[in-house]
Amino acid sequence: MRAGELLGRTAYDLHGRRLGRVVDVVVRGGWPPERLRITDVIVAGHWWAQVSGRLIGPELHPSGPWLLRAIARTLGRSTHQFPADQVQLVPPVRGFPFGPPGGPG
Amino acid sequence: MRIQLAKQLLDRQIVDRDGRLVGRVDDIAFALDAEGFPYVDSLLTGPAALGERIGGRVGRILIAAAKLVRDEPRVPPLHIPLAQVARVDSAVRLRCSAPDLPPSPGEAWLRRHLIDRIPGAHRASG
Amino acid sequence: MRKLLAVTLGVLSAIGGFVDVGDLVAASQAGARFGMAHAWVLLVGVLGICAYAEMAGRIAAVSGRAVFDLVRERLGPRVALLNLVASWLVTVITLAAELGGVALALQLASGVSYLVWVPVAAVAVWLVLWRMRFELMERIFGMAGLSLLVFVVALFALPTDWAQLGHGTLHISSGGQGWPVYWFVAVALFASTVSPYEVFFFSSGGVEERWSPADLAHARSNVLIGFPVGGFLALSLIAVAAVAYHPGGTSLTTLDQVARPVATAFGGVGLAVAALAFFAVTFGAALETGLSAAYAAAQYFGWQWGKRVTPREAARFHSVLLLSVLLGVLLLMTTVDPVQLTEYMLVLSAVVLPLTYLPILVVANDRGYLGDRVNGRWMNLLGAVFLLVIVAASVAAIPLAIITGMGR
Repeated sequence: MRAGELLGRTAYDLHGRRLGRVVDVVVRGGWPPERLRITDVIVAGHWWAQVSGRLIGPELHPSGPWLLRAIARTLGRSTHQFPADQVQLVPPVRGFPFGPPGGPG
Repeated sequence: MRIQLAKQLLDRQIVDRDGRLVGRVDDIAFALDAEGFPYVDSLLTGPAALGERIGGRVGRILIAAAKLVRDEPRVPPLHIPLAQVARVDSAVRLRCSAPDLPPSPGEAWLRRHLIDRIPGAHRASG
Repeated sequence: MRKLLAVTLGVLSAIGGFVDVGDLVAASQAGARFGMAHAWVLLVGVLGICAYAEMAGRIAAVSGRAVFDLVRERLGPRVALLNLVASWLVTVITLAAELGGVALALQLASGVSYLVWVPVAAVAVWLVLWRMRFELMERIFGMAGLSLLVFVVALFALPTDWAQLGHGTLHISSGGQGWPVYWFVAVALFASTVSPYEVFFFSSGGVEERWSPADLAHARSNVLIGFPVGGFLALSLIAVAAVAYHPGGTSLTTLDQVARPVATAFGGVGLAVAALAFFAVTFGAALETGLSAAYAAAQYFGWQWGKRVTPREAARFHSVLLLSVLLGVLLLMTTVDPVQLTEYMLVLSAVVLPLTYLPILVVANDRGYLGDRVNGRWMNLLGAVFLLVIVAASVAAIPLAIITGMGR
């Protein structure tokens, strides 16, 4: 499984409600020496968030100028982080073990 | 440590121990650990990884263009294990040196067939 | 003198952008048709390019990342590829025009047709790119480009009505040509002052010179002296054409028409200096555009690039460089008019301008790259205002080009 396969997929919650598109993947771990595991995915409701999110994500500028922060907040309003095991991807990605065992419903 | 892959790792420049440019993080490969959780296994670089990530017609054109400048028909992207990464700031800095990694087929092909044949290719202009 | 030598990177970047072959004609044309009514456009353009070159230079000095690195990192592979293809095409076609300009300058000096000179110019440009040390290259062609100052001197020798020039600068009129044409020329002039290849070249040049945080003052003086000098040269072209041709309404389309007022003022010597100046600025611009095309491609893909390493260590970079020069020669051999070529390129480059300048502004606020050296409040205000101007120009470029039939 590659990061490029996850990005851009449509994400649904476990009840089948559409959340949006995957724009980023969060990994956590005490690297090195531990492994960096996928813990969360970041999902956006708008089509433009794929680009705008990495351009001016809200958390990138904790001390940035207010205008950039305001723009980042506005653009990022539809962007939310979900634990990876609360999300299923459509079409499913081989090797992404989360979601219900029966596959996306 | 928390890392957002698209924002902090993907598309960054990969730099070796001595400051040589190795490539870009064109994609990231995951593996599954014993408990079934996916973890970051290695960084991928090379036109094959980039073309697959871009996808569609543009991605295929990119892969086809890369095939023109090498002898072997199929070259997998270069895998750099995460253990080789020393730190990540504005670039991904490796512990190893570029000559220890497999060479890029495009670079080697162009060197052999074009650049090495021009006088002065062995001297840096500085 | 030593001070001046230290800022030649800025001077060469600016010369390649503001007074390359297309602008020699375009700026003079603006002066002949509208007098000084476009002087403010240059002023705005220079202010903006100074702001963005300062940010790009600071990022290069602190993090070692050049502009196309940022484009790829901030816009992702797809949008950055769109920018790469557009910028590469624009830059290579501009390179073709510059090679044509070098050949035209040689034609002006020798009388032999420029088509004969094109291959000679291309080989000379490529040899400099292949062999010459970066600093030496930037010094020779930065300094030689200053011979364009002959146009400033000519202003004093010509019967210049300074009061009228000043009046024309402040009281803007469309000179009876219609406002759409006025604005089309304004957008084209603006796009030429902020051509993306200037920041590609300037920031990559900083990396080539191994700038570190200790060189920030050096980077800043390059910006604050180099780019205004380029703007001043372009302004003098407008002024000379305004004095010599406005408001007679002579249409001005060739390099020897641009040089004629200098020849009127100083005779054969003036013409010779003008031809030398044209040669120097177009040659410098050819180096800048050729390198910028290769820098952009190498940085997008992450290849080893630059003149510090041997060509065989940067084989892909040097192959793109060679390919760009060859494509430029092929394009010229179709006998297309090199001056007209840049006119079309300016419109195309205006459209993709925001894709280059937005990532610079964003990264200039990113502490992950710059630590404590992120933009201050005034720099951000300037950058944001200027970005709006860029977006406005980029949106207006194609409609204006269609309405006015490329400003005719």
